[in-house]
Amino acid sequence: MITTQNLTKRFGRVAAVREVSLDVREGDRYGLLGPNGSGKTTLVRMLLGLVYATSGSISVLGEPVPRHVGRVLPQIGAIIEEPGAYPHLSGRANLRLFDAAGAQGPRRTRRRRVDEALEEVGLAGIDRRPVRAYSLGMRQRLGLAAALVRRPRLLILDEPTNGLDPRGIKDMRDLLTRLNADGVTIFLSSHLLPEVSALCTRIGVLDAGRLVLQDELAHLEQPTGRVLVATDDPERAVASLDGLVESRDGAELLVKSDDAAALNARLVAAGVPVRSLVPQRRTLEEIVLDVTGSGSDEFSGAGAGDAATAVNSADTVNGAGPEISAATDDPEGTAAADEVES
Amino acid sequence: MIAVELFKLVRRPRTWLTIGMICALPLLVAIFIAVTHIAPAPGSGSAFLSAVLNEGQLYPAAALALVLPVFLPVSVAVMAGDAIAGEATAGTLRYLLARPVGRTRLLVAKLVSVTVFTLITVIAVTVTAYATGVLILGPSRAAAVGFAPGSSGSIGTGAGGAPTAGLQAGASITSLSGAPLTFLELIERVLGAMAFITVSMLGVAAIALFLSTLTDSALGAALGALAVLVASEVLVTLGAATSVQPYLPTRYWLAWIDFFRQPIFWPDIQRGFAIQAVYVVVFLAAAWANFATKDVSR
Amino acid sequence: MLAGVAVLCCLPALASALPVSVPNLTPQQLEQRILASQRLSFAGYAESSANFGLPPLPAFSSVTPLLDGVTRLRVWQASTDRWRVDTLSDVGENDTYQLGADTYVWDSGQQLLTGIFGAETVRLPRAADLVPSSLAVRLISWAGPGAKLSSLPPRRVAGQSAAGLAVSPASSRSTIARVDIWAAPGTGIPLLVQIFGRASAAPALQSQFLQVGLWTPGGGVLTPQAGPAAGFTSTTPAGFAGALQHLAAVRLADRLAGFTRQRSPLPHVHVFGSGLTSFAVLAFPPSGSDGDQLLESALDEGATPLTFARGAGAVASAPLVNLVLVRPSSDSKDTFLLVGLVNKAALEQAAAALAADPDGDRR
Repeated sequence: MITTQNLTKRFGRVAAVREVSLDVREGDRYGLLGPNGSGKTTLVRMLLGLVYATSGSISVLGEPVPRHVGRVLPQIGAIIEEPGAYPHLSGRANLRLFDAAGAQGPRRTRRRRVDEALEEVGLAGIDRRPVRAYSLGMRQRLGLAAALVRRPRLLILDEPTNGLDPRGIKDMRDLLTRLNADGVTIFLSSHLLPEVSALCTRIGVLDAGRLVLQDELAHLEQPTGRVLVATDDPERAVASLDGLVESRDGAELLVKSDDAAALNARLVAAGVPVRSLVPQRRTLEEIVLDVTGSGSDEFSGAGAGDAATAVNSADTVNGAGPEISAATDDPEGTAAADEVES
Repeated sequence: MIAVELFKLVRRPRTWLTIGMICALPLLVAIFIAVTHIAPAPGSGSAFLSAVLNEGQLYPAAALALVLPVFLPVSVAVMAGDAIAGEATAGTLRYLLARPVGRTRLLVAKLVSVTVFTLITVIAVTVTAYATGVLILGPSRAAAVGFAPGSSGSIGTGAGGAPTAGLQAGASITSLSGAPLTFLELIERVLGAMAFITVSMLGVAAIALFLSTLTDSALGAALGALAVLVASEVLVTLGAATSVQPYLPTRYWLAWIDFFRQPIFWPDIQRGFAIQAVYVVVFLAAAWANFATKDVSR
Repeated sequence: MLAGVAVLCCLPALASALPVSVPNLTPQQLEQRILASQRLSFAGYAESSANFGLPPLPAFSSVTPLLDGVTRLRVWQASTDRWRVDTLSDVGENDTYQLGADTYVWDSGQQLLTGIFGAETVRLPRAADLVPSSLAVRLISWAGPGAKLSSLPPRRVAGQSAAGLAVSPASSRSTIARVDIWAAPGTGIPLLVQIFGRASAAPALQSQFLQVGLWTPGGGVLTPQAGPAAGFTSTTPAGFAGALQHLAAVRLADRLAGFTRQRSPLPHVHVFGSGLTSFAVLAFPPSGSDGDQLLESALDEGATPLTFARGAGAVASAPLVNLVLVRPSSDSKDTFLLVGLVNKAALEQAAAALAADPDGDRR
């Protein structure tokens, strides 16, 4: 759906995007992660033909961009940073206006498409109030509705959940998942890890303009071959496991093992009271922090080193870089999967 | 896209507020003149203003003369300066372009929209001024007393003689050349003047539109265009700048009154149209060249 | 893009650089055609520009604007005594209609049509005199047979090829160095007239048709009309000669500083020299302090003081025109004003002769 080759954009002497080769496949829910200032927005704007690349090539829906961007855009819905609307018009009037503005928005079906899009984003009941009076969340929903009016094959969403409350984020995620199931490819950029990890099937990580990682999320989150064991009797556990314990933190042990069930059996057999036993997976957060340096708006000098040392040390995660929000407040967060109760 | 821009124009409260304020100025002037019966001395003040006490029907022309030098160009510069920069600031420009709206089409639609705004304003001024003139200043005094020495149309020597005053059917007001104009002729002349004034604003609009593609500040673009206008108006009155005067955007702005001469004096009107066409072509091309290759990063 | 702008900006220059071709005419042939063109009917638009820098003279308020700045003229001419010339301004116009002996003047500011019935023998210059056609004809006839004629390279005026004629006054004492006239070679209608003084390389006065063509009279254009709200008044042309009544009647010698006196159309005004090298002498009676006042006001207006053997005076000059005022020291003598197209030295010489001559006989 979207491929770029060595895409580079310079603003004067500053390279915002450097040699990025994206590969978004049909049916993906692709998440582009990166701290603020990493070049996400510039990259998205290049995909939409708003910003012209310094070098490299872009192909969207099989067409070269920006040369044939006019053929591509009608099949794309987009949110580009904040939603844009004419404040003195109602939400409905805004959608009609935007639909009428470009080609290929048939007037015949406009009213129906606008109503359906509003319903989909949960704004079916809006009245004639002007957009000026909308809350930020309503504007964000309206922006999504505007992206959906043309029934696009591809959604390109730059920071779509800005200003949405948790309820709104959940609604949007559900909607995007449903649309994806209907065959819409979703390309989403965000600096919010939980948002991406909860929604996306594939991720790319952008750091200081470079694409430092691009892979299937499932592949990235494979077990690490270690098991976290919590026990009331750590000494006995260490003794019985005989060299498999890699580290110990009070009552918690990190044990080298590919098979949690066998480990559990062995501990139980040794009479170790197991409180919990979880195969360790690397969280998306760890993965991202592993491959990225400091956020571009952080100028502490030691930032890159700090981020690197933070990887794999679970107790420093919450205090990591300022741009990567921690997952602790997310009920469907990254760390809770595959918990095994003893 | 043009229809969309026009929709945006008419749905925008600011449009009507601006037009209302522009129409209010001639109304205010008319009220003062009607109350005090003090019209400017002939040859001073705005064109036609000295005559309106006698001929209220001429007030549309006087009203156009009142709004032409400042009100109209300022509002046009603000409108056109806002065209691209305003959309960029409001965050709607990127959504329009991603819709997609071709950048060239957007520019042309914006220029058309500004032109329609000017036309609506000029029509509004004319209509309200006609009503004002007839209601407040009163219609033409008494019957139309035409005057033609000798038999009109006869050529050659000896046609002169004692002038004979008489009623001329259909004569409505006096042209600048003295000859009476019928009501139909008056409408023709006023329409011509309205068209000319509208076109006169195109140069300003094109300059402001060009500046609007350069900057994200609508105010900056409008002020830039106004700076060009003020400079042009200064140079037009400067004898030392004679060599560049034919190229100035405001050089032929006053030529609309040539419609009220009898017969109509065309050369300056034609030049006025031509110079505006040149400005539109040059600055629209410059706007296009800049905008089509511009990174829209707001 | 830039190239396009450059082309657009150069269009006027390119248009005027179009090749011009005119038939071979001797200066005399061209002069004849110009004089003959008076009989034609034509219409057009002309602009005259002059920069005389005259002080505002209340008595000549209708004349000074013509000699400073640009005058825009709309012209229709059916014949020499049936024409209309409009002077256009940004807010109105002043129109002159000639109907045989009668003249009608329309003032759009006053909304007033004035009929002047009867021919004027002498009048002040008016806008219609600046129209290139009448200006050229008048200058050629003033220059007289003694003037030197020569050809000028053709140029493009009012979109037409024009043949050039240079007219130089016979006398070197004229303030006019040269008059250049370009005329349409076919019709002889003068398209551009430039008058050069001695001092400057730029014309002191230039009048040019911007567009002109043969015209079939009609459409009521030449008929003065006053619309419903306009007024009408009439007068007789006595005004100007009457204003000269208070001048002193003096008898002057037939020759003054080498200039010969010629017949004057006005009482009390003496004209010396001929054509483009002539000047007028006006005498103000010694009664009262008229003479002192004149001298004072002339000095106030920036004239340069002069001293003569028997009197004081002042000299002022504008392009093409010089003016000398002389107040003899004897209180019983007239004050003289000399004004004309001759150079300062000649005019001062004449003034000195007038001041010295005790026999300016009273009639």
